Amino acid sequence: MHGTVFPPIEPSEVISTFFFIVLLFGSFMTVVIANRFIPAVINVSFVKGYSVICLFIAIWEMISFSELVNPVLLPPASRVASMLVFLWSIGFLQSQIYATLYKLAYAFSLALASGVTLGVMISYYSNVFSFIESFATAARVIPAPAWLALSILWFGIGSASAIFIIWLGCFFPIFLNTVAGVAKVEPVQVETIKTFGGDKWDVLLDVVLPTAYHHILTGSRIGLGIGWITVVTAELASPDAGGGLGWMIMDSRVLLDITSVLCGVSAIGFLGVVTDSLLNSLEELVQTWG
Amino acid sequence: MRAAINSSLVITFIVVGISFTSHIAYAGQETFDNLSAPVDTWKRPVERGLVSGATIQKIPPLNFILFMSVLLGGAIVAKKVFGKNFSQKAFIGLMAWIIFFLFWELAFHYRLLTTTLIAAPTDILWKFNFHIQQGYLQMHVIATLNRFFVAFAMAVILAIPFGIIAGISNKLYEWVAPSLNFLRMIPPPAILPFLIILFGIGEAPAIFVITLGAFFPIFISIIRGIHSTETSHCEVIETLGGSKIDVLVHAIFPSAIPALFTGLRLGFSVGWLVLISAEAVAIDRGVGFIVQSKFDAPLVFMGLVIICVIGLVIDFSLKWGERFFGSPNRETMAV
Repeated sequence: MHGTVFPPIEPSEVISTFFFIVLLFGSFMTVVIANRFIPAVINVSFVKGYSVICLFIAIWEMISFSELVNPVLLPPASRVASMLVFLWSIGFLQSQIYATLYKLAYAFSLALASGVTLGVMISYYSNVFSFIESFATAARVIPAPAWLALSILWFGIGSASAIFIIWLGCFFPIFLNTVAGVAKVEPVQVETIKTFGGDKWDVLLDVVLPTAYHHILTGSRIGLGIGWITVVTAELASPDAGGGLGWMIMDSRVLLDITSVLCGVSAIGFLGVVTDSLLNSLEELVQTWG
Repeated sequence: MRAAINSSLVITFIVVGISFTSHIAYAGQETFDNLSAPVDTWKRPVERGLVSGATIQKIPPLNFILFMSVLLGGAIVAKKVFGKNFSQKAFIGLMAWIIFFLFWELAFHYRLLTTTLIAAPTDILWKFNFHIQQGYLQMHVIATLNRFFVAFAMAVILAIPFGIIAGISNKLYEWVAPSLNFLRMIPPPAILPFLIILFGIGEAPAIFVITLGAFFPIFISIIRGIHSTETSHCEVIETLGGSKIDVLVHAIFPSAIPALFTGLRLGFSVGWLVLISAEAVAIDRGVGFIVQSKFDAPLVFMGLVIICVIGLVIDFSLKWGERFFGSPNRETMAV
């Protein structure tokens, strides 16, 4: 009624541009000083990378502040930051993050279990299951989001349909990489175990899995990336997929609340980096065991 | 020399692809706009049009079953006769598909499955027939191909120079790597709503996100390829009095070419995924839009078959390129 096109949802306290720049500079200086005292944790390359990120955010803030681009279309970084704080304080952001991560974790662990099991089984009984390869080749090139309409038809609205397509997206990279990893097993090692009286399970635990773990982890990292794309697509495309960050982005877009849209995007990017580095550190951990 | 030939082949492939598909895309769109067939709000042909126009008969299920059985017998006979030219693997794959379709149709024939949740092969064939006659299928396929070729070409054109720069200069890579890593981990469809507000509804947001999706795998593969150059090769060229350009052309580029093809294949798989996502979310034309037609299972299956065929063709040609130009003992990653 006031003739304003600003979004209907307002953060309770807006950080001013000046204060935001001071905060950004302060955080950068903190990182630089921390590099002096704890170089083992915060190394030089971290400082370099962080400085470039800070520079980008500062440029973004300046573009919006000077109104080079319409601030309604590209809200300043300070506004996005205050919106993030606001959404976190009312507990809305946490519930959306939980909804997204729940679906992703459910489907990913399902895909890991089924992909590794099937991959090992098919390599063991390759004579019986060789026809599966021709089906897998065909199913692999159909991207998981293409099954969305059918999965809603089969599993109904709600998280189940989203979980199905995320599982489908994560499954193929893990499965195919497991098969490729098991193919690397050397027959000499298997025969050695059998000669010394080991059974099938000894072969699996002592030879097959240690040989294939590297491929399995590569497959899981690719699968996780595809899983993130698929979970976001499922939430964007169907508002009934159990909420989540993608739903938050789409819902805010309809309200022209671009600040919240950018909040959702940055939250997804942050969570993506966290999950990817978790898998990366798992890979390093397993490598030290092997 | 070989590097120059390879890159010119890639560029020719892309340019021909773009011009070909865009030419047909506009022609096909015009034809479709001039069609007198009744369409609904989303420009889909209404099947009531069949009453007034040409009637397309459904394939009788029994004929289909008979045809598949004959095919099955033919495959077995062919295996007996041309046994040596038929590899065992291809034969098993072919048999598996024939038996799969046969049993799928039989399940509908004996009413083990119903048409509400899943479609019979004869229904899917009937949809194909109908939509090809209406020009609807051609329009969607060409729209998708055009969009994909434009976006993929943009990704390749951007990724090659940036990848070479980031791969050669380690200093620059160290500065920008963390921010690029953050950008890489944002799923491209997530920024689609933002881009729709920025660019408006249409091709631009979709092409932007597909480019973003295909860019990073190609970019990272080129960087890896350049990092895998053997230093002894560079040193030999420098010792024999070659300049930095010589090192670049004769040592670094040739070792990056196999990695480039691996990257193209990875970039294709991510770009293809993002393309289907973008068409599901933001676009009203393309095969990704066909498969979002809810409550019309035969139509969705038709879309899935088309996606599968296009994907297989592009994937096989890229795989062939990887095998042809790549070094033979390189590990290929299963995606």
